[in-house]
Parts: sequence; C-alpha cells; structure tokens
Amino acid sequence: MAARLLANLIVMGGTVLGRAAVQAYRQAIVNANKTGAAQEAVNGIRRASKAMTEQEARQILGINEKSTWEEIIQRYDTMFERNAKNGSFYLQSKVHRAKECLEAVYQKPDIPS
Amino acid sequence: MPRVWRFYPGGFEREMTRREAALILGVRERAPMDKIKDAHKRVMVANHPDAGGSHYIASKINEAKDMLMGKGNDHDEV
Repeated sequence: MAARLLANLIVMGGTVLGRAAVQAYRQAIVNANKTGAAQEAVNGIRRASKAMTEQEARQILGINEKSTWEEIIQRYDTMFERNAKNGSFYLQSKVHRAKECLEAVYQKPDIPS
Repeated sequence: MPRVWRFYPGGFEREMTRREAALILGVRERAPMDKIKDAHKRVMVANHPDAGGSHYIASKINEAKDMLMGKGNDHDEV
C-alpha cells in the first residue's frame, strides 16, 4: 500500500518536473528569439568565417581609403590576370572577392547630407 | 583553361591552415619540397609587389610556403 503510494508520487513528481523543464526550455528559445541573441550569435559565427571585410579587401588589392574606383579596377585587372596565368585559382578568387566587396562600398549611392 | 566552377568565397582564414597554404600555392598538401619551391617562385612572381601585386598577398604566399615546408615532409613528427 505504502509502496504504491510512493510509486505514484514519484511518477507524478517526475511528470511535473519534466513538463516544467520542457516549458522552461521553450520559453528560453522564445526569449532568445525576441532579443535576437540567438540570431546574432549564428550570424557572428557565419560572418567571422566567411565574409570578407572592407579592410582585408583593400589589403588584398594593395590600395588605401583614398584610392579611386579607377585605381582599384586597374589593380584588380592586373592581379586577376597575372594570377589567372601563373598564380593559383585560390588567389584569383581572393582578388575577385576583394573587388566584389569594394564594389558594394564604392557603388553605393551617396546619402544626401 | 576556362573555369566553370565558382570562386572560393570569403577572405583568407584568420589563421592559415595547411589546406589553405596548399590552395594558395596550387599544390597538394603533401607535395615534395621541390614542387613547393617551384610553385612558390611561380606564384610569387605573379604577385610580386614590384609588378603590381600587394604586400598582403606576398606575405600570404611566403607564409604558405613556410607552412608546407615546415611540417610537410617530416613524417616522423607527431
């Protein structure tokens, strides 16, 4: 009799705890989505490993902040061509990605002041 | 030779790996010393700062060579 009572209590207790844990987990996910914390974390990881920064793009092409788009294209053409002939496809890719990155920066329409 | 596949995405790795070093020089990771040296010379000439290349790329090429020559041919190293 006592054993059965005890068993019931344990099972009920376990169910209550289990349900609470699941609910807490769900709430945590909802909270994370609300604040965008989870999304930012994912984006951060993705960006850090994949995207090229403007700074690196300039380093790759050997230009500085003052360089004009014409200068960039000139250097791009030279480096792209030379790597196509005697470099590696990997380096050719980096040169291409650098130009792509700066294209977005330079071709952006000016914000009227 | 026309390339039909896409360019590699993104920038260089934050820290160079053997895999990246091999890609930079256009050799296999376990390439013999002489192939690495030849590849290094060829790729460096194509990217030499005096010939329109950038110092950044030149340093990557040198780093790639050092990485592949350092550990590549010593199979006893654990």
